[in-house]
Amino acid sequence: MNWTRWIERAALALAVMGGVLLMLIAAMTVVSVIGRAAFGKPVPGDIEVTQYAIAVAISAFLPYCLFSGGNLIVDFFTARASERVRRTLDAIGAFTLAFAMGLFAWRTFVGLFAVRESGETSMVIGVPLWWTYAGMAPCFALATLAALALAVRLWRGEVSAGGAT
Amino acid sequence: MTTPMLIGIGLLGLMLALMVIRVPIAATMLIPGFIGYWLLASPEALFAHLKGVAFARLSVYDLSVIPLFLLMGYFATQGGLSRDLFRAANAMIGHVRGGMAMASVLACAMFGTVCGSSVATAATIGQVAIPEMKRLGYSGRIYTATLAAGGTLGILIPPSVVLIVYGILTEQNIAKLFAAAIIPGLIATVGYLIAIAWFARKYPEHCPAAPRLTRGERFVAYKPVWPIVVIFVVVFGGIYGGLFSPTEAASVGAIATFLVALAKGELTQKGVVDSFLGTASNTGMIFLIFLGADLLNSALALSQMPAHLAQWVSASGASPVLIIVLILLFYLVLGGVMDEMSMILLTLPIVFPIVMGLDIYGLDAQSKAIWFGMLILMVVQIGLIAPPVGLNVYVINGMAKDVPMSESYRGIMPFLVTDLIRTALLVAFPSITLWLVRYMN
Repeated sequence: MNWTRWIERAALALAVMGGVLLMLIAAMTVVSVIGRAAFGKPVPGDIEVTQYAIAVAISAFLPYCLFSGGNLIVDFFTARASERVRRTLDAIGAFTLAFAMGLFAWRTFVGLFAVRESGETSMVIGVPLWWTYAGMAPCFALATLAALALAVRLWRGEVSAGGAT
Repeated sequence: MTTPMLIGIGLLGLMLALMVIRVPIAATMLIPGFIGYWLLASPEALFAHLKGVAFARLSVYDLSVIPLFLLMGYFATQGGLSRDLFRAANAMIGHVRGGMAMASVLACAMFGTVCGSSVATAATIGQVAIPEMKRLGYSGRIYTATLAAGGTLGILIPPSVVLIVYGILTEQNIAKLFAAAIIPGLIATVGYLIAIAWFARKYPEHCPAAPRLTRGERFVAYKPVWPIVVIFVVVFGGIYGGLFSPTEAASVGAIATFLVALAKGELTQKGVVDSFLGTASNTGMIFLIFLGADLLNSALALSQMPAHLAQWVSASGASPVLIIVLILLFYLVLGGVMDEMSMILLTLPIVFPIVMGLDIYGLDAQSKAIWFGMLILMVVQIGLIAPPVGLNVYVINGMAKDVPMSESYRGIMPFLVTDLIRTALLVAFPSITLWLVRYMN
């Protein structure tokens, strides 16, 4: 099987995991609201857990977003160009995005080690901050690969201009 | 002019050039952002900034509102709630001339109370309303235009993704922004009903009336709608009453909508996965642009350009309301070329300080920010249906398949007229926006 298909599957699986994480955040918040209303006891640290988990969930959405044409472009100026020209430009565009995502992935990995070194934790229940970094960095790495795979597919003509698969 | 200012202008030029050659909008902001930071600060500063910026920008409590409200909207879409809403609205007013189009608008307005996205609202209600209107003999002009315009009620009526993004960027209270949006949203709904009534009078052959239902049939149609009413009352009653934070309300709403859709027996496993994927795609898109705009705006701030611009505008002595009108016109033109959400994320850090520096009707800072947020919302909404590229018109026209684009745009004109009148009213009378907000404290 074509390697870009593997990346696509991984991106899809990661997006679904992000969705499950989002549902867990929502469920925890609902429990916390009920606990606060009924017993005056919210879930301890619910705000900081939401804050860190949402960062991981959003990062998990990025690779799939890049595949599914979530990367918006301005079509206005090139609407009359040929499909071939538009597809080539889109391939270059996807490559640019891959470069940017790669930069984020690399720096977030560096941040991960820096934060682990410093041993920072959250305020209320003491969750180590590096856990969030550890969740985010691989997502950005996969986002880089997803953008690269899209660039390759566009270049090969496997998908049409606009980038949606 | 100083060198940093020139670099700032160069960065904006580079961004526009990249946009013209179809580079994804997020990257058109990220690349000049990297370059600007590199030049105006230093490469070390850029790399140090990047180390923590993804974490700092994404791990924000209020941001969780965006994916949660999106997820709620997708559950409502997948759970078949739209069909119930359309049937109920049709039972109510389907029998008047143009009634089924009016019913579509009402269904969109009600769907807008659980969905914060306009394209999703247009497409969801469109799925059920278009076939019905076709069968009754409505013309393509009226049904495509009605749904494209009606869909924008998804963002006009809270929850609204645009307002959440505005609230986060400008550090305003999201609950107050939602409260402010209610009356303009109702005015929009009424405006669209009037537009349809006018159209139906002028072109009766385009929109025949449906037979009137008996009282019993009407009751049957109204019944399945109550869970949506309950969710709306709980979620927004909770926000406005100060019981919930917006994140809590969005969580309650998402879980409740999930359970309702599940109980109706229409939410399949595939439906849940599709809801996740839709949320992923939309959330990812917003946050990629968010990261890009953040980086570019940090670089621009280093160049001092936005500060100089704000100073220059407030020193120019032009009438503040005139400046607001010019800003809105600028947005309308820009929105014709680029995606509205990107436009807001990119320009707001520059435009917002300018607006806050103006003395408008003697409003205090918070009222001014809420009022301007509402105007931004109107401009975004108009951009979604106005030619040359109205995203909603494209989506609905694509769904209808056999209607020429020019027909859809002809149909959209009466709706656009009401949009422009409403926006003018909101500019002239800030109290329309601020009236409900005053009752919140």
